[in-house]
Amino acid sequence: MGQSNPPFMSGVPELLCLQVIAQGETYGYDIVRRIRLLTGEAIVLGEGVVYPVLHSLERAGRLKARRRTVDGRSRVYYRLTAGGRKRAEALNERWQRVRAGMDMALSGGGDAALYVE
Amino acid sequence: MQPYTSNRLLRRALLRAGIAPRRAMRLQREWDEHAEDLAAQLRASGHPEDVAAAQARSSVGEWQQLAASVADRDELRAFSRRLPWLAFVLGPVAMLIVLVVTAAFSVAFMAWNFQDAGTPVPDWFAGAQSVLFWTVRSFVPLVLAAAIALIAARRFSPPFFPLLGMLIVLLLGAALGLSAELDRLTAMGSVAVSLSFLPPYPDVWGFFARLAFGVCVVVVPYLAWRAGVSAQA
Repeated sequence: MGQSNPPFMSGVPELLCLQVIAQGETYGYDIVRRIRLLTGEAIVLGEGVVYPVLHSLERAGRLKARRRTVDGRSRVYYRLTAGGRKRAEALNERWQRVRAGMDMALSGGGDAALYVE
Repeated sequence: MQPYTSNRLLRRALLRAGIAPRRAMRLQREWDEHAEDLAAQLRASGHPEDVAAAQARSSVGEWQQLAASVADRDELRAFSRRLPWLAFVLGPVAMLIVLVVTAAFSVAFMAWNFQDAGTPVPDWFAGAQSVLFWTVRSFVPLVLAAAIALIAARRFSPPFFPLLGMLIVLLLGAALGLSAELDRLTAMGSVAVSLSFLPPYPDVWGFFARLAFGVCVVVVPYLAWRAGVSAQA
């Protein structure tokens, strides 16, 4: 098991959970597993920590939860609501901007701006 | 290994953090299910059963870590923790007032019906009215105060607002006077609501007796429970 990520990741678990659930109704264990796979283990959410995030999203009306029994195992499955879909899109857009900005800053492409002023 | 669902310390930590009992139970169950899934995966990859179970548990986390992951999430706090003055004070007091007004108006409404029909007030009416007024005066405040105590105890709420709510409800209940005077033949009369601590101070000794009874039956057991919990902690 990898090391969980530090506090500067605040906000990222929400986006990742929404992204995974946007692909279809699923449950906590599968969400953690898929985040690990999707991010090439760069982002590892604490195994138990994902549930408070899911509950917060549910409380905010961005997820719907229901208990289902599949293959004899009863689990809580989460799916996105319309509000959750909008939130995922908004977070995604914001993250793309941050990423573009970081890419620019790290590649030195923003140096020109330093000299304009 | 003890499941999270039966871990009393975890449950208590979640409740102390203000998480509603039902949500706390659901979180505990989901953590257990997550550990089971993880253990199953480890067993499938060749780990012995006990090693898989121990490793799964350590991945999900100790109860202190899990409780801490929830503690700073305001949005998961129960209504009674976010607005305790409303849940424990204003809500129960408003409920008591609504019930008193409803009882008084119910009696007046029935009397008006007898007047409209031009029939005398039946014999059962006085008994029914006495039972209704007794219930609202004596039983309802005790039930409301006991409900405040139970909810506060079940959720490990800080005691200030629950105690304030209990005392106000018991005080109002003890001071409350409800009476009706009706002429049997004409159904004319009056319904009166009075408070013992307002002039002309009706039944002031009864007020103190009822208040003392309410405090002994509800407040003292609640305080004793709190003292027991503090001693355990």
